[in-house]
Amino acid sequence: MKQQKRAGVVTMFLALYAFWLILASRFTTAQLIAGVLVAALIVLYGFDMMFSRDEASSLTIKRMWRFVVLFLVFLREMIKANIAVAIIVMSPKMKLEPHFKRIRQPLKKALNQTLYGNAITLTPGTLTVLMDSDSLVVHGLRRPNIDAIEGGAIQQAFVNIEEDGQ
Amino acid sequence: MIDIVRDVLIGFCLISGVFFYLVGAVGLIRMPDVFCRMHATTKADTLGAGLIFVGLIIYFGFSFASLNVLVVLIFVWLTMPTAAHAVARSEYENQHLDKTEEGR
Repeated sequence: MKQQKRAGVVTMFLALYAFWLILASRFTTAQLIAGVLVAALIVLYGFDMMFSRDEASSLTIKRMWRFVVLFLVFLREMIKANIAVAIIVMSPKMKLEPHFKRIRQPLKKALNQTLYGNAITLTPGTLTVLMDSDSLVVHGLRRPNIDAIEGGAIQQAFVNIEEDGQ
Repeated sequence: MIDIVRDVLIGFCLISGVFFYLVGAVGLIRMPDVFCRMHATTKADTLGAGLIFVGLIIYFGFSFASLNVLVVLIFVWLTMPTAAHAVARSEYENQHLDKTEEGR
């Protein structure tokens, strides 16, 4: 357990430091030292907020590939969502049927649930309002939007990630 | 030839990105309540920012600046829905909608 925590701290520190170096994009001594200080400070302050290992599914090659698939599916859905919302906004008479609906969610790991909630917010006329471990409250701009979530392509892609990727 | 294609691609990305930002702003004004407004801003702005950043990446080519822009893009895409969720949730609880069963 302690070993695992140490590994987590080191990973987080290295990731933050790499992030700092990319953003700084100059490699003077001052930049390098400031990066170490800032990264260490953030690890110290924010380590408890990070997802622990058992809240995320372990990363296998197959899962990485499925994440790529998920990203492509998500990109396609998001572009469709944007065009749909743009049409609604720009039409002279906005036809809206705003409503809330509680939907069940199939995911178990906290990290996947978070990503799923965010993905719903970014797809056609849906917005995640509340979420807990087994359901989400979603606000929809139009009725067909919410009905498309359950059993939709994005949900399927998330379920694929969660099941055993051996 | 390649240069012209590149310029057209950059122009297309920037102009459509700006268009989606415009849609987001118009939606923010026209929509009737908080939740609908969040729909307009999150969606349009995400694709708007995405297209503008992709245009910038093509413009900078394969360089450190592109990497910067890519990192910023990832963070915008992570934070935008999170912020929208926070706003929507606080409004939901503010109106005590959580006490009614399935909402309206």
